[in-house]
Amino acid sequence: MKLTGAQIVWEVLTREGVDVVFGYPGGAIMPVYDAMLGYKIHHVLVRHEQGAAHMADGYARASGKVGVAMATSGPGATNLVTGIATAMLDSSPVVFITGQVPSTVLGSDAFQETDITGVTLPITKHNYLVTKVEEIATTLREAFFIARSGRPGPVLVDITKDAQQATTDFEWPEDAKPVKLPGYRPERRVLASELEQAIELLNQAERPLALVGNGIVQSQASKELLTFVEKINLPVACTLLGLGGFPATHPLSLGMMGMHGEAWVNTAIQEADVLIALGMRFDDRVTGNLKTYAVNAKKIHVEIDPAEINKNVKVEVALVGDVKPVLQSLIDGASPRPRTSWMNRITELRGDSATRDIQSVKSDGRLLAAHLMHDLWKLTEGRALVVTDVGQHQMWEAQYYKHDAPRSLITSGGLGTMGFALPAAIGARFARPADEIWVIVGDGGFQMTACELSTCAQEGLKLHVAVVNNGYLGMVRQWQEFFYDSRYAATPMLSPDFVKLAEAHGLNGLRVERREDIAAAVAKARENGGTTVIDFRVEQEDSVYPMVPSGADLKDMIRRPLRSNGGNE
Amino acid sequence: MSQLHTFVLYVEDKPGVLDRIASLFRRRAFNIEALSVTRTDHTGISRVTVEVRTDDAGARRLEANIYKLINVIQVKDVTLHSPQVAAAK
Repeated sequence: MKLTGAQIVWEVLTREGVDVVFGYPGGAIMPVYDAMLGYKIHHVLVRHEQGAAHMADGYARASGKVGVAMATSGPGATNLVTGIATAMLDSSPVVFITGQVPSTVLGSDAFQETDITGVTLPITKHNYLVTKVEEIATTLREAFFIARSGRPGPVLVDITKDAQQATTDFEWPEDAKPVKLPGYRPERRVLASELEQAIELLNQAERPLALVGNGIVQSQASKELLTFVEKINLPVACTLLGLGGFPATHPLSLGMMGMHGEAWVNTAIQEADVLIALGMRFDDRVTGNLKTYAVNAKKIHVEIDPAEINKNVKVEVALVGDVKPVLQSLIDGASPRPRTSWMNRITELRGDSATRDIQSVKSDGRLLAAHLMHDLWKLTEGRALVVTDVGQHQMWEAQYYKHDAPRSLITSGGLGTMGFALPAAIGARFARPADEIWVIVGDGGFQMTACELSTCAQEGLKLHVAVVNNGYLGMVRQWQEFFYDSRYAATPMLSPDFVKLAEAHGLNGLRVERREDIAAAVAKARENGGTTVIDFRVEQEDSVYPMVPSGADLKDMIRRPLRSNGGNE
Repeated sequence: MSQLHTFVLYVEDKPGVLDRIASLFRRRAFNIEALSVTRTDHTGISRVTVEVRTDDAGARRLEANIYKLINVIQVKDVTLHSPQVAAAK
């Protein structure tokens, strides 16, 4: 069958199971857009290509499938860059397709020419420049394979306009063999001797702790994890991206670790004698000062990417492989132990922290962001898919919204991309049409990609957007308060009227200024057709506690001041 | 202890592969001291030799990251370690 390169793009996407593509047309990708009309795949027109990238990423994280974003050459492609880097740092499987100037003028600084494979080389798992129509199908197929296999990640395929326009014979073998690349072997098997060492360490441990990361979610290993930790009585701490990988309301769950982890979690890590890290990479936001990090613990690292082993933290046993089958082997090998004194110690640590908990602070007419997160958790019965942005609200959400299911929290962890939440939630909506979705976003981050409200309107999507509005770039303001003598350089921020902004888009807008009004606003948002933006006017100069300052020892965390318990600072 | 490490890579002979390798050394903050690219007996496969001054942990990290490059078929740190050199004398 003779097809154009542009048609072949859609033929391959269809066969890869793609049902939605997020993108923005332009000169160098026009043949692909023209061919699109002959196919059933739904295209979402974004308002900025960064939005397309985050949407495809959000779709991937919500579904576990590969997301697809499309853009034209030059500025279209470079606008994707922030979204590509976001997907890279959080190992999200996304295929980016960009148009490129015709191969005859490549390298001539032609109109809208950018060397996008050069630009994205360090922020993709792999990328391709395709100049021949005959190579489009195999390249796209490889791209999907690379994106979703091993440690997932973004792959960019840049296709010249003449390759899109040319025709060739297209045949897709129905019994297509799996893609084989000479230099890419993603499947790995753990050695029996290494497994034995890990099991021995676990069996001897008096104070063990599991550190759970994104790998558990990606590998769909939550069930295995639950069986494993219940069998051997192993408490669990999660990274930000690990939240939901283990049920937060489970008695063995400690919560989030690291910079804004609760005190008992970080103290437990420092007191543990064996740490088993499962699909996490000892990020600096998790470890603090590496010299003093968990020095009492022998460490087992279960990780699919060999380049992560001994990168930040030296480990005694490395199990390089997919965490799901590794956990299965550990379940079979490890023996149950009660570990009563360790459990009692953790309970004691929790009790101390609870006295400082913000939930016991009276609101006194104020709206505290932490209370908002707690109330949203209660009102949604913990069942919403929450998509957060970056900053204070992200940490409060992580602390106070208890996620029990994997893929119930989507957030930009590694790159910390402000502006991620709204477009990522739009992408998630296409993956999870029936779920209640809450965007939780600060007033700063919301304005970075608020143009995508227009996409919500055009697509007729229903999202609930909670803008946690404190009039500051809150996390930077907090750092200024703590570490820069409260000199608020460029952090006070004037915002538009978010209610009117929503209404200008034909969406619904609400404002909440007191805790007692949260429930009614949530009910109204649910009732409304389409997207509702709620402007939550929260306490302006509030801080996220506890906090381990960047690079400090985990034990040197700044605790929540006890005086705030009275609620009348 | 920092010393000169030599890596031998067998890579696909495709445009841009050298860029991918060089970019990796740069972004992981290693300085290339020597580099050579040659053909091999196998059509479509080139040999790249890179020398970098780093400690053993750095060398292991580099090797693992080079291995991750899709166009790299094989990589080996072939450094003669100082104690072995001493023993041989």
